[in-house]
Amino acid sequence: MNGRDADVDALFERDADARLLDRRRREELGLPATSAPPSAAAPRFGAESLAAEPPARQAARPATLRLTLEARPDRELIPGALVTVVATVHDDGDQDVPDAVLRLGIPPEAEPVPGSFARDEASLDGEALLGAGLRLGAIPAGGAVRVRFALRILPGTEPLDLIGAANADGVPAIATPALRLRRRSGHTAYDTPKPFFELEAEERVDLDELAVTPKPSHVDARSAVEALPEPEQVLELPEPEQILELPEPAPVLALPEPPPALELPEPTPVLELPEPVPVLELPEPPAEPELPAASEPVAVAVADPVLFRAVEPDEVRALERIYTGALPHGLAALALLSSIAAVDGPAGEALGLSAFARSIATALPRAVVAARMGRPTPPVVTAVALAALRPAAELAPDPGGRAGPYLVVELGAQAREALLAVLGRNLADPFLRGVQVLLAVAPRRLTGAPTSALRFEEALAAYRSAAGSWLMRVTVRRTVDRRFDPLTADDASLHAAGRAVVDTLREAITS
Amino acid sequence: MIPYFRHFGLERDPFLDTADPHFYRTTPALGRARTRLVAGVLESRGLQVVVGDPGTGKTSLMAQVERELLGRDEVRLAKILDPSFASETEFLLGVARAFGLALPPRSPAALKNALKNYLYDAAVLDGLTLALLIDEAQNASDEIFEVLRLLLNYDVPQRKLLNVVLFGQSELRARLEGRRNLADRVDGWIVLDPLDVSESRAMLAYRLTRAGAADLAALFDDDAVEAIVASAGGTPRRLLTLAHATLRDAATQGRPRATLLDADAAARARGLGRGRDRGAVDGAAEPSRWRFPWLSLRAR
Repeated sequence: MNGRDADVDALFERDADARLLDRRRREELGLPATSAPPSAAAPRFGAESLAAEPPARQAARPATLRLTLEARPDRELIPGALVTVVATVHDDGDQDVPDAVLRLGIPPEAEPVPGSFARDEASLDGEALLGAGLRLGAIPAGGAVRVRFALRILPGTEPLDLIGAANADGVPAIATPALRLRRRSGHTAYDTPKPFFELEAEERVDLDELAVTPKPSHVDARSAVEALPEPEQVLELPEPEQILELPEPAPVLALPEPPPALELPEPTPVLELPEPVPVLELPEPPAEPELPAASEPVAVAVADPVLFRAVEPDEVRALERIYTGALPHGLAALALLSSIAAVDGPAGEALGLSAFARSIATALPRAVVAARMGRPTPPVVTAVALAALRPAAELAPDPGGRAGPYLVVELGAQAREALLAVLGRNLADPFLRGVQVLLAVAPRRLTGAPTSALRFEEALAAYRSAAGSWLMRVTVRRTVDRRFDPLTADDASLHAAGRAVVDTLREAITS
Repeated sequence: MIPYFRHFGLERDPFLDTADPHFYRTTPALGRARTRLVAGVLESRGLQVVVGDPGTGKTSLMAQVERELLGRDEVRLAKILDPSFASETEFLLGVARAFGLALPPRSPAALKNALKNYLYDAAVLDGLTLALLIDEAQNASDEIFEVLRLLLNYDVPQRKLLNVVLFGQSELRARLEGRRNLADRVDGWIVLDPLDVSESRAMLAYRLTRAGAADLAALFDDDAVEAIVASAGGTPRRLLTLAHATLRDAATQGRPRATLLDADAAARARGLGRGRDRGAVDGAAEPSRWRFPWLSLRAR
């Protein structure tokens, strides 16, 4: 029941205490808890018998502030929608309010439209209103001051609450509760509804400019982001060259299992055969048994191609900042994956993975800027970058000889098969393909670290699993809604797994 | 004039002293307080009281409780920002108005009766939960506390018909405890304590990142952060004020980051000294935290 719907006369006519007593009596007797009749015949006692008295002659009422908030439209809102907010500060008393101050808090996922702020019919600077407080000056008895502005709704899932406060020294104040604007359920499209009020001439310029909300096409997204400030200042991402790649296809991706690969190369029998006999015959020290191996084992012993990536403490610190900042989870995931992907060395170059990871690292800062400004993120994985990958390239064996720490994945037959399977899939969505490629070359091991890398490797395995699940979820979401942006969507489990990777990596390389 | 935060490439002012939800960062203690308050309202437990020194986050906590309750259709919220009403009648009219009820001026008895009828209709007949949040409750007169007591008395055996949450400065506790008949009705007392060092640093870092900075170290030397945190003494508002003044001074000097000089100047201008400075004046031992900087690093 809203107070505005109440029958005020009836509230005075009925005896509240009698109604409560009647209800209690009925409860005790087990009777239905019907309300007492709203009759004037209800018994009245003591001071309550004055309830039906005629209106008292009142002395002049002291000043009283009352803040009301309104917004239109206040529901079915979609990202890009413009909402007109009106805050009215009333003086309900018979005396002037000397100097009132008004403050408003707007929801994080909305932004005020510059130039739209107006007090009654005069424009004003909105920074004070949304900050330290807007001084309204004196409000005459029984009068009101109205402040309004336009608010643009940004993409997101947080509640859209407007909270206001008005105060003046020594003056009692009440306020309507915060105003909750309603999003259109599950809608992420862009639209440009008109404000409900007519704009003044000086407001029109800004509003019209800003009301051109971007459509979710890639072309528009690109052009919108191109107008953004230089991304390098906004996010300190690790050097693109170091960013990279990685090992094995996460099982979570449900990639086709190539079990035959386990049987084909068979290096093990070769190692076992030559050992026993020579060792028994020769009294020599134990160095010998390995040297006399026949010529065939040499071929088998050739190391698999290896993808690797050097780990720099500065980069780990940059990753930590990403995970302690307010970066959207999808962007954080891509930053982590592209930063640890093992794509260095000859194999990474031959497969085109180095250039691929570099292109993502280059695109990420712009996406971060766009996300922070609530704009559509530009594509971070492009069809061109994917097309430059060369999964069938000839790979040389790993020359070795590196000092640690390195993130490593051996590109054995099984891993190679998985990578080929990922690249061979006909997935139309570049983003989904890009993440799968990064997961396929995500590292499995950390070598050369000063301390045990076991916890890191466990965290990495858990992350691959979480990332696979995430990929499944966003794939489904994208199937349902092509405009769903996984980069700016939150995913707590993925984020927690990523954080664990970064934490354990730092532990492992900084002892 | 370019706002100071633009000098540092920030999108918004990170240190405004407002209950802006964009910058609200909860701590475990605040999270528990919010949960308790919301649960107390939803369970119709009557009166709850939050006390804390100025600047400890009472209004921000109230805004969070309000947002939490807004999402519940069964809750009717009313908010009093300052209860310094001159009389019982004005208070009753104010409470009614806060619930959206435009009662005409009548005698206090008639207004109380009308308000009780409203509580009965809304809470008993319509099954709603009514919550009245009162900020700056230390400004309320004894007369108003007595009205609150009477309204809180209007209940059914299963629950209170009106739930009241008072937010006030520390003297509120003494005033309520001086009125035993009201203090006994308090279902839960919540005292907001100052932040510790790590929470203070986390709060600064959180606000900066929300405003667009990479992290705390991007804008503040570590010495400057230590000085701000020490001078603020765990009071969030003081922390914000000092951080704001420090950054503004650094921007005025054209520095890319705030230094210890800026932080000390900001503290001195507000008559706030750090533990180290106070120790020097008093001849007391310097807190070990300042002799071992790695301790503060560990707390990050």
